[in-house]
Amino acid sequence: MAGAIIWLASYPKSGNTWLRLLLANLLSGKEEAVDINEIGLPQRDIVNRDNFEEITLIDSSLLSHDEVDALRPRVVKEITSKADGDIYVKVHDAYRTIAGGEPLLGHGCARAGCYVIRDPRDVAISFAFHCGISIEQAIKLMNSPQMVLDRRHNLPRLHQVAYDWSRHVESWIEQNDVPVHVIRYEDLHESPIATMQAAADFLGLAASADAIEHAVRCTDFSALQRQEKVAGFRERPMQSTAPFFRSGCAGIWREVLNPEQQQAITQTHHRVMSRFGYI
Amino acid sequence: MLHYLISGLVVASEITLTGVADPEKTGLEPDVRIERGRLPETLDQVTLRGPNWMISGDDFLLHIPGVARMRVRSGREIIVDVENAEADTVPFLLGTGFGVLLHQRGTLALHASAVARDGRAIAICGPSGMGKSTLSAALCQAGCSFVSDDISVVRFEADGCPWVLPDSRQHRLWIDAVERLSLSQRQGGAVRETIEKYHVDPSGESAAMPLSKILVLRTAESRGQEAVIEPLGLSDAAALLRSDVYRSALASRMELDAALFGQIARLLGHVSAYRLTRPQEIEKLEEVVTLVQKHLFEAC
Repeated sequence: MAGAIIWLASYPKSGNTWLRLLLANLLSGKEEAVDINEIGLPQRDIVNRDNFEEITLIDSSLLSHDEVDALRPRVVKEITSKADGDIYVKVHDAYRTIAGGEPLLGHGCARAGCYVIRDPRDVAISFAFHCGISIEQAIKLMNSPQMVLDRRHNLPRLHQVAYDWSRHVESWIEQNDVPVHVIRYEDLHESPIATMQAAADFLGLAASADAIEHAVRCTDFSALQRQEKVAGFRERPMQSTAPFFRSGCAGIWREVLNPEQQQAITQTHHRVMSRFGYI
Repeated sequence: MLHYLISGLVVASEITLTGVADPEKTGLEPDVRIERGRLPETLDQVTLRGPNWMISGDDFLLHIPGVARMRVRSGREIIVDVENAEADTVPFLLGTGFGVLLHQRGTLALHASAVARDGRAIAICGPSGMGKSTLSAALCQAGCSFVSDDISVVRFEADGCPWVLPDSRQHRLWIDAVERLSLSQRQGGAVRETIEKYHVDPSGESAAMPLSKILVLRTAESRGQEAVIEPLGLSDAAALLRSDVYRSALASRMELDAALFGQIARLLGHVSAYRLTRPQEIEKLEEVVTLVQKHLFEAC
């Protein structure tokens, strides 16, 4: 029997990994916290270049972005058809269609999704550290209508079109192909148990209150930081200038961003920020 | 028909294989024919299938959307049904098309560049994007001769020694590597119009060479790491080489594991293997070249 994808979607540095670890701990059924490098959740990587090449047998570095895009729905379909049960797939691509109108992420492959949204002012700070760039550069990328992650041909991941921050959010929330549950990063901080309970209910996961409390305890930020300090974190990008689990704070922008930087974000993203209660 | 010599095979082709050394006038009976033709969308009695390809016994059909359909049969024939520009199909034909053909023939084809010095070759293996072509071009700048760019076929001679056969391709380098190595004067056309990877003419002819060492190339995990070469034990070497066979996962699905294991074990009986972790920064390419020369050439 073919499996079904559960999308874990977000703009980069918005809590996607944190959500994935919460789900992994929730589903592990074990006393001890899951290893951040071996989380045991049935996952798949749909933007890994090697995976793409093993599935399509085509050297992806020879393909234009449009040609890669044309094959991606088929790759997603192939991965789904080979899976057994739910698979959790992290995705930073904006939700979009390719030439011909087909969704980039395939049609009928997913049964649900979670979209994690985080105050873009905090995203900017985290994104800057993550990529090893200045906060100004990070803001510029988040405000750019055609932001593309991993744009170059010789990177281990395929390119991913993210648009600007607002359009990324809206692309996922306004599509009608897959039912998506929105999780505010800030809510995960303030009321993790209620927020995870709602997500588990939406995904149809049988999760007792105890199991959710346990998962929350295991993914406490200091616990994750301890794990990364001891064993490192495989998913940390090569150019990063900080640990992956760096601060995990909500609202740190008040201390870090100057008024011009704050304004550069709020001006561009006013509508979506106010829709989600950030201004 | 143009005749080329690729990975030890005489290839007669209706299609001009841009980026392959000049056609040879061998007068030999071709081992492989490349022809234009119309192709079906499916094969009968499919035994293996991917999203854009299928296999029926020793018949393989691949679709590269917007570029071509390609059929590879019995290790002897490649038929190309061009969808757009014929020249655009060539890198795919020489890559996946030829790779599958080599598997059909039961050949040991490593995903590797190869260079030689003093009549001994080293193969530089690794997945796409590891910098095989760049390192081999840099070693050629430092005095090595060029053997192959992307697919290195290993053939065992009568005395049991492994030789590496040239894929007869030019270097194919990203524009930043062309600039870094000051190779602009030898830069030819783009591998495809749409990408910034270029053919670069290697100086001198490439020839088959006895293989003396294998370098498994990987990129450092984080920036700032220095280049490291370390000898590999047999079991690590065997596992890494198996994963660096060209189109490795497909070879498994074609049930070639046992044969490949035998060939790799035989190979490792003759050559030593090393792992090279290269820094991410292209600015450190010269350090890598110095290290490789010191460990792999001066030692022998």
